Amino acid sequence: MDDRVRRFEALFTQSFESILAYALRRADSEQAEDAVAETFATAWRRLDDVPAEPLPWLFAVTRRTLSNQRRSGSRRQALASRVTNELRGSLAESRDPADVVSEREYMQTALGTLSHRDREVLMLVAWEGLNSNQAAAALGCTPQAFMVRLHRARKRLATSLERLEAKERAANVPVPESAEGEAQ
Amino acid sequence: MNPDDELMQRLAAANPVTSEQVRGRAASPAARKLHRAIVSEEVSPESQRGGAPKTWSRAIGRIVAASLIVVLLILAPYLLEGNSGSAAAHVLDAAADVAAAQPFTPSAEGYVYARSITAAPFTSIGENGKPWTVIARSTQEEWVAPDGSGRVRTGLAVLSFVGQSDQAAWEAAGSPKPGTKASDRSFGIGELAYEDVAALPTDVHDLAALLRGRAQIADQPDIEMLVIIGNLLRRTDASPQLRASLYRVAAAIPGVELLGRVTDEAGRPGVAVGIVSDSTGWLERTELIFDPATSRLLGERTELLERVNWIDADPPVVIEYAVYVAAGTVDSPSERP
Repeated sequence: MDDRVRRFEALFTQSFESILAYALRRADSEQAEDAVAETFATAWRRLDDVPAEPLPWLFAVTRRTLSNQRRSGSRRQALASRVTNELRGSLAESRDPADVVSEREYMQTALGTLSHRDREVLMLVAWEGLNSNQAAAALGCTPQAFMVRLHRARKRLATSLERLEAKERAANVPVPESAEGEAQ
Repeated sequence: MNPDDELMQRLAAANPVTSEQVRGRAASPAARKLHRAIVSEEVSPESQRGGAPKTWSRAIGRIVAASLIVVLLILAPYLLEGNSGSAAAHVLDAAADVAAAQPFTPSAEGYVYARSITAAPFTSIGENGKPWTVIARSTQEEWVAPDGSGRVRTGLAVLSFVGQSDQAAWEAAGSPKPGTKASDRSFGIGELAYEDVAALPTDVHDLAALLRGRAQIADQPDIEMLVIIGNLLRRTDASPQLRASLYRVAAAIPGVELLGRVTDEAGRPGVAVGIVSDSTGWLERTELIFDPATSRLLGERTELLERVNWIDADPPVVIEYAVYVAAGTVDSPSERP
C-alpha cells in the first residue's frame, strides 16, 4: 500500500461518519450518499490540498456538492422540486403549534424558517460541533466574520422561536367557562 | 459552543442525526465498496491543485478547436472587441433585443402547457468496485391552470450509455433500471402555482439585484444565477420586457462564455453560453442554449470536460440536459398545442 493510499485510508476512516452525518442532516438519504461519495472522490484527487485538520475542508466540499445537486435537481425536475419545496414550506409555515409534539420538532420548525445561510452557520456549531475557527474555515470566511454571522443567525432563530411560542400560547388559551356554556 | 448558551444547547439537542446513528458506518460494506472504487482511480500529479487536471488542457483544446471555426464564421465582429466573455455578452444582448421586440398577449384562461425532455446520469458501483453510469432520459409534460392546479405526466425513462464498458458493467450488475418509472399526477388548486413573473422587475438593475440575492443561497452564485435565468426564460408567460432583461442580466454574469453554434439534444440548431466549474472535483460546464433568431430558450445542459472514473467517455460529453420542445396554451389538461 503506497503512502497516498494510506493517507486516504486514514482520512476516510476518521471522517466518513462525520461527513455522512453532515450530509444526512441536510439532504435525504439518496442525495446524502451521493454527496459523501463525491466528497471523498474529491478528497482523493486533491489529497495534497486536504489540511491537517480535514473536517472543515471536507464539510465545505460536501456543502458545495449538495448545492450542485440542488441546482441540478432544480433544472431537470424543476416542477417536482418546486412542489416538494412548497410542501415543505407550507408544513413549516402552517404547522399548528398544538401539533408540535416534541422539542426537537419545535426547534427544527424554527430553524426551517431561517435562510439557508443562517441555518448553515447555526448547524455547523450546534450539530457539527465546530468551533468558530473551524466553522469559518468550512464557510471560507474569517473567524471574525463568522462570529458576526453566528450572532445574527442566533438572533433570528430566537425571534423565530418567540413567534412560534406566541402562536402556541394563543392556541392554548383556555376557553372561558361562560363561552363553553354558550356553545353548548 | 458555549455551554451556558441555552438556545444553542436546545438546538444541539434537536440534531436529527446523532453520532450514535452513524457510528460504525465507515466499516460497513457499502463504505468499503466506495473506498475501493475511489482509490481505483488513477490520479496524476498534474490533477492536484496547482496544475491542470490530466485532461483539462485536452478538453479545452477541443473546445477551442470546435468553437474556432464557428467563431470565425459567425461571431467575428464580436471577437474583434474582446474575449469570449464579451462575445457572450454581445450575443446575449442581441437575444435581448430580439426578445424585447416580440409581441405578447398574456392569457388569463386555459392551461399553460410545456413539454420537455430531460436526461440525467445515474452512477452506481459494481461488485468489482468499478463505477458505471447509465443516462436515463424521459419526457415530461405539464399543464398548469391559472389557479395553480394541473397535471404532470412523466414518460417511462429510456436508458443509454456513453461507453461500452459502462453498459457491460451495468449488465453485470443485473441491468437495474434506475429512474424509469412513469407517472401521471393531477394537482389541486395552488399545488403547481408558479411564481408570478408579472411581479418581477423588468429594470435590468433591479432584476439583477433580485436574482443575485436569490442566488446567494448557493456556493457558486454565478452558476446559480444562470440556472435561475434559465428557469425564468423557460416560462411562456414571461413578458418580452422581462425576457429581454433576463438575457441582459445573463450577459453581465462574470465567467459566462460564448460556446458558439451548437445542436441541442432535440436536434435543433442554437447558440450556447456557459460557465465552467470544478467545484465537485470534476471539470464541468453549465450551459444555456437558445435560438438567436427568436430568443427562445431551447435547453440547458451540463458537459463534463475531463476524463473521470465513473463514466466511460472522452470529454467533452453531455451528462445531463433538459430541452424544451413544445409550449403553448390549451383549454384542458388533456390537450396539446
